[in-house]
Amino acid sequence: MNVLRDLPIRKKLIYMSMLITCSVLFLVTTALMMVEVFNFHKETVSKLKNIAEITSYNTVAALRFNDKDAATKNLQSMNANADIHYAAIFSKRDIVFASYYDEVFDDHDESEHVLNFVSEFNSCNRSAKFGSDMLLCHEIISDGESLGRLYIVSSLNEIHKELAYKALIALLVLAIAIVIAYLLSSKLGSFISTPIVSLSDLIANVGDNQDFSVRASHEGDDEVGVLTKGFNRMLWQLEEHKKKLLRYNDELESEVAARTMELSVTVEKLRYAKESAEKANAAKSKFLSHMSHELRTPMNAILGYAQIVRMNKEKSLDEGQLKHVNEIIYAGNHLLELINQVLDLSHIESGTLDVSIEVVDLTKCIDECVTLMSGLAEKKNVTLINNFTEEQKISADYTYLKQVLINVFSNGIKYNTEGGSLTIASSNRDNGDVCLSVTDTGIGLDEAQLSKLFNPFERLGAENTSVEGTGIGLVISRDLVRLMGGDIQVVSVPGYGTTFTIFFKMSTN
Amino acid sequence: MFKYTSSNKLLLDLAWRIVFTLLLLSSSQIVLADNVREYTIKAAFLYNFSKFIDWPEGTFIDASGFRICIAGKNPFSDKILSSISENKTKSLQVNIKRIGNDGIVKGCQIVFISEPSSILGKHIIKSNHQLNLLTVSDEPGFTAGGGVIELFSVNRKVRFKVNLKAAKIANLRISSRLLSLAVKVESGEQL
Repeated sequence: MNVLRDLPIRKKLIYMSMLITCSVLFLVTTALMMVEVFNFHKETVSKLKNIAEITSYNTVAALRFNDKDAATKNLQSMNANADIHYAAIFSKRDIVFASYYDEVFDDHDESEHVLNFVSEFNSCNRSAKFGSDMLLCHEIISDGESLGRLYIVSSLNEIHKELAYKALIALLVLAIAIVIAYLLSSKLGSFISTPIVSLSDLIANVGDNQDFSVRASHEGDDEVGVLTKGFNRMLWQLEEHKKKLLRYNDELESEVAARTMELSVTVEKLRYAKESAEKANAAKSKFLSHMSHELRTPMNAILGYAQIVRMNKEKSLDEGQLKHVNEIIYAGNHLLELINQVLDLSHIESGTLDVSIEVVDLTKCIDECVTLMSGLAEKKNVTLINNFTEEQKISADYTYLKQVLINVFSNGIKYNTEGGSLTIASSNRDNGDVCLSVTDTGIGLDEAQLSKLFNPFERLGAENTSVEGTGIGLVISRDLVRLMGGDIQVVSVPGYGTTFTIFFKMSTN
Repeated sequence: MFKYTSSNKLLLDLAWRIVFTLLLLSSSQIVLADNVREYTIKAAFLYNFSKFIDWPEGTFIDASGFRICIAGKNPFSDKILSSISENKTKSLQVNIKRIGNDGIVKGCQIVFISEPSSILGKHIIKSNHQLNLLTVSDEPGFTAGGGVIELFSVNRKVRFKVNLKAAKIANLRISSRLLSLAVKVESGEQL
């Protein structure tokens, strides 16, 4: 079956039609031959019956009058029929009354044959095939009285010869029919196969070359025609799709190019903006640095002289003057602190701040700062709770660490509520960092405030309160912690308080 | 040397006589047996003729049977006659009737005449054309004398001659199959 499956359609059609033709012809021929044989036998029997009928009618008188010569003469008329080899009339007592045999039939055979026939026919009036002979028995009846039997032996050889001849002709016809079937089917088969083959070639071609512009051509509205039309429609659709895709592709490319252009322009603009911002920032830092420096010198002079005035002339100043001098010193100190912080910030931003990292005992540092803050806390009525009691060594700059801690602690106290508390604790330590959490019980910060918390000079509305501050303490604190390899994070719940978490690098030794 | 004596001669003569007589006796026996056989066949022939001959229409309307009559001397054995009368022909039972000197043959279909030259025989032959009789005899010259079928023997076989003219007078139709077996068919113009 596999062999058949891979055959071209044309060959399949040829084989198919030839197979059908051959089988039909074979069946028809066989059937005809069988009918022929049947008819031949029937005809032979019927012919022999006729002959037997006539002969027995003519022999009745001879039998009745015991005239063997007349009977023999009667039987001689069988001579006219070449097929009849032998005929015999048996009297009632099964004795041969008269017989006939042709030249083919040997006289010697007679008795043997006669015995065979008689044994063959227990009851008469029937025929039987005996080798290549047809035997017939006919009862001779006159006036309802059986006078004897007539046996006829007819050869079937002639008939068989004729049948063989007919079979030969049938075979010849079969052969010719097969040739004609082959020629016709190969000619007609191409009607069916050619369009299919050309279509399949075209499909293969389309598949190989991805060329959807070609079209299959086939006239006629048969299945192949429908197939061709469908294929052409598919090709057309594929072509349209391809065109559309190409168009989309083109559009996309130009779009991408335009976007790329825009992007590069934007990038350029941004770089320019960044550069100018950086320049501006650098200029600002430089300006701040210079100005702070310049401001500090006269400030120191003002503070110095004010303190001298207060120390030396304390007894000569009246209460009002002393109050003014104190105001000058207080405001001067505040201004100096502000200037120092601005200077620190400008140093940090310009990267000129030197940080000396060493092993610092964090616990001890916290203790010192808590002690320093206790006065302020007492004044603000805030309870300081220090839970950070476990000894912990970190890598940091001691001076800056203290500045950071003081800033965070003082913020926690300054922006706390009356009677609140500030809790210092060690929080979760993961990946080797040391974490310090500072939790106040203030009013807390909302999302918008949190996002602005680390902006310089941003006091988040505290500028209108009595709480003093510069607005850059937290910025400096975060920058300093970062310089020491740590970070500050803030979590706040409005109405409940804020927790600052400071990460430090743990000391390696 | 053997010497003939008169007594011897007499004895030899006697012996010859005895042998001759014996021979004569036996030959007469053979002739007698032959005669019986011949008439048996002839009786069968009488019956068989009926199968190949058609009588005119209406012949058998009132008939009680198919009648075969024997006129004059009866040469047939009782045995063969009774065996024939067991048969049927023309759908009728065969019966045998002896015709006396009165010569009444009415009702007969076949009449065997043993002495056709007698007065009775001549009478019957004459009444043939009225009574549609098939006249049969084994007397030589019977057909020439107006009889229909004449039986005779050739090589110990019984054969027959047919006089068509006489058959026609008797209004009988004889089958060609029977005629084909007849040794001679006379048109009977001499009658």
